[in-house]
Formats: sequence, structure tokens, C-alpha cells
Amino acid sequence: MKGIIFNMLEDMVVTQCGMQVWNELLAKHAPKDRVYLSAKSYAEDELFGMVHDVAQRLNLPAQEVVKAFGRFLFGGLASRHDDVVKRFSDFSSLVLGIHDVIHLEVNKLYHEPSLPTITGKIVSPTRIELTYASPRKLCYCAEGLLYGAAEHFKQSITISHPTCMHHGAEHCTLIIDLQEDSA
Amino acid sequence: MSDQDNPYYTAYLREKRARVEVEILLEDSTRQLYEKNLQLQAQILQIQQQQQSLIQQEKLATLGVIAAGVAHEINNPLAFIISNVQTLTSYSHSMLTALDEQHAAKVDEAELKYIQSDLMPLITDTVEGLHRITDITKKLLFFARTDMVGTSEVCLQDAVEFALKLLKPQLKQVKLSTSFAKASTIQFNASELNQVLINIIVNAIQACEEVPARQALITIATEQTDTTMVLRIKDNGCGISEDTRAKMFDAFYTTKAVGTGTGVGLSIVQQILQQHQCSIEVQSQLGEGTEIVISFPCTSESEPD
Repeated sequence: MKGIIFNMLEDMVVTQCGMQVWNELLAKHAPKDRVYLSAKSYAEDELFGMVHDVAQRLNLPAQEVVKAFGRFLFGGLASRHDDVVKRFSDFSSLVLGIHDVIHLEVNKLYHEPSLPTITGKIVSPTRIELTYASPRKLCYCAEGLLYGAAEHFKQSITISHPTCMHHGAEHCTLIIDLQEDSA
Repeated sequence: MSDQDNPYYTAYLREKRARVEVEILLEDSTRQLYEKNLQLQAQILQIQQQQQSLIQQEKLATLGVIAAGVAHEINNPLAFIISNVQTLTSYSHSMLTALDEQHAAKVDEAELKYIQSDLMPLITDTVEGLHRITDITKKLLFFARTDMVGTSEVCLQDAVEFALKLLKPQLKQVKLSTSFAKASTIQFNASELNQVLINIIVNAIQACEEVPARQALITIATEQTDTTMVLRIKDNGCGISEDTRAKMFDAFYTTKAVGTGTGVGLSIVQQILQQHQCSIEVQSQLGEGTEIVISFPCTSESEPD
């Protein structure tokens, strides 16, 4: 897992729970004197441990925390890579450009980023079907990222998740419904 | 005191901003590096394609030499085969007439005797000529096919002799001397070996042509050591200056007049030899001549003399 994801988690935890909590999470789940550099890779167990800990502290299901983190993550990444987000005119074009544009840019910046496989197709003018596959099974984070992207483009959406890798499927299917009122 | 009121928290945020800024700078450089790398890869691909096209051109040039040589080699036997067949046709007319009782008297007995004595030599000659044509086409298929990949066991002596046969028209004014080691088997791509030999021998011929006052002399010899088969091609031509020797294997370097050489012949020769783990050495004295020494690794079957 790339350091930038830990950096974003740190931002979220520090902003929402305070510095003390982040220090406790680090002490509990990361090796001593751990520092996260954006371009370096770190064990994903560290991230999963921290997320589960946050979920316990907030008394929320882990998937909700992962989703909330995804939403926060989009804001952080978008502010850092504004030029990439600006290439998309709306939410739909961003979703359809995940593989060809966003992942290409990620590959430029990070060595072996272990990206998920994401493909999107327009099912109807108000519906996009997205398939997600990754050994990390971070589909809820992907959901959160999509909500974050929708917020950025002021697009109201709802996402249903009829098939999921957490329930044994080979890949997740995310059905994104776009609400017309917000465009 | 909350995080927000803590001066250390303010400092933390400031330092974090600074770190993000540095990381963004690093990301920009990484992105540029990635894009430059892609451009470089595209350029390398383009250069490789251009090199392939030059190699193809060079092969076509060699093919021109081969075509001339083959035409010469086939034309000679063809000329006497045609003449023999014409004679045989006329003999068969005479013999058929002799067999015909009505006209038998018209055929002279002496003529029949002559036909009888000439018949077998004519047929033997014709068959020998046809064999020569078959032999050159067979060798042509082995040494000159451009679709051949990989290596096979090749007799170096056969390869040299075939190249010399192809270059016969160019070698008219050259006094040629050859000596070959007994078992001169090497592992090589036959058509590429042919290309190497033709390139080097043509260079030797052209070097000799630069000194028209002297009888051109080219000596070709193979000798075998325990581990190596050595091929020496020596000429008494114009020789190569030290400056040219330093650049002669560089692509596009040529001492020939514009339009007469691509300048990639020897660079391809070197490339082919390197691919076959062979070495090439050049010994030359300006005004006196040049010796090219190629060392081929021996195949296990080869026995030293």
C-alpha cells in the first residue's frame, strides 16, 4: 500500500479524531518510528489494522469507515492532482476514465502501485455499471471514492453493490445511479 | 488544550504542507521522467525499425550480388546444354533417317560412326551441366534464403566456395588462392554467413581495384585450433588507414562514393558475428593490403587437423 494512502488516513484521523488518536494508532499498528512517504510502499495490514481500530472507537462497521475514508481520500487526491481531475468535464467521464486516464497517471508516479482492475460501462443515461476486482478487496473504499468524486462534480448519486468479493464473487459490481436534479 | 490551540500542532500542519509540496515537486519530476522514458522507448523502437529497414536494404544489395553470380553460374552450363541438345536433336534426326529403310542410303556410314562416338560424351556433358545448375540452386536455397532463422551446422569451406562462385564475375581480374582446414564445420545461420563472406570478399575486391597497377591477389584460408575455427581473408589492395580502421564498423561510415555504399555493411557483419559469438580482427597496412581474421567457436564435431 502506497504511503500517500496512509498520509490521507493520517489527515482524516488527525482532523476528525485528533493527533493523540493518530499517535496511538501508529504505536499500535505500525513498527516503531514509522514514517509514511507518499511514493513508498508499506504493509497493507498496517492500514487495515488502523481502520478496524477507528471503526471500533467510533462504534461503526469497518466497511462504513472504509467508505468514509474513500470519500475523504478523493478530496485529498483531487486537491493534490487538480490537473488530472480537471481533464474530466463531469462525474460520468471521470468514472469511465478511471482505467485509461487516472490509473495511467498513477502508474507515472508510483512504482508498482498494485491498482485494482476497474471497468465501467454506461447502461443508460442515468446508470453506470462498474466492475471492481482487487486482491485487497477495497470495494467499499472504491464506493467512497465514487461518492467523493460525485460530491466534487456536484452530482447526486446512489450506489448499489449487488455482487461483492467479500461474499465470494470474483469481482464486485457497483451500480451507480445518477440523479438528474443535481447535474 | 485542543490540537488547534497547540502551537506544535500548527507547526505540524506547516511541516506537513511543506512535505506535501516537496512530494508534489518529486511527483512532477517523476511524471516528466516517466513521459521522457516513454518518448525514449518510442525513439528506440523507431531506430530499431530504421535499422531493420537498413539491414533489409543491405540484404537486397547482397541479393543483387548473388543474383549476378547465380546468373553467371547458370548461364555457362546452360549455354553448352543448349548447344548439346541442339546437336543431339540433329543426331536423332540422322539416326531416325538411318532406321527408316527407304531413306537409309541417304545417311553416310562415317557420319553414323561419328554420331555413335559423340553421343555419350554429349549426354555426359549435358548431365554434368544440369548437375551444376542443380548444385547452385541447392546451395542458393541453403545460403541465400532470407527467411531462415536460427543456426545450423555449416561447412565453412562450402560457404566460402559458394560465395566465391557467386562473386566469380567480380573476381575475373583477381588471382585467388585458397586453403582449407580438413573439417571446417561451424554453427552459424547459413544465409547470414553468406552475407558476411560476400561483404568481406567484395570489400577485398574493391580494395584491390583501388590499386590497378598491381596484380590483385586475394588469399583465403581456414585453420583450426582446439577451440576456434579461424578464417583469414587477405588482399593486397589499398589498405585501410588507422582513422578508417577505428570507424569501419560504425553504422553509416563509408569511404565509398556517395550512392555506392550504405555504410552499414560492415556494421551488420560485426552484428551478425557478435550474435554468433565470433570475433573479427582487422590487420592492415595502408598501400599494402588488409587481412580480416574471423574466429568462429568450433562445433563439438570438428576435429583439429
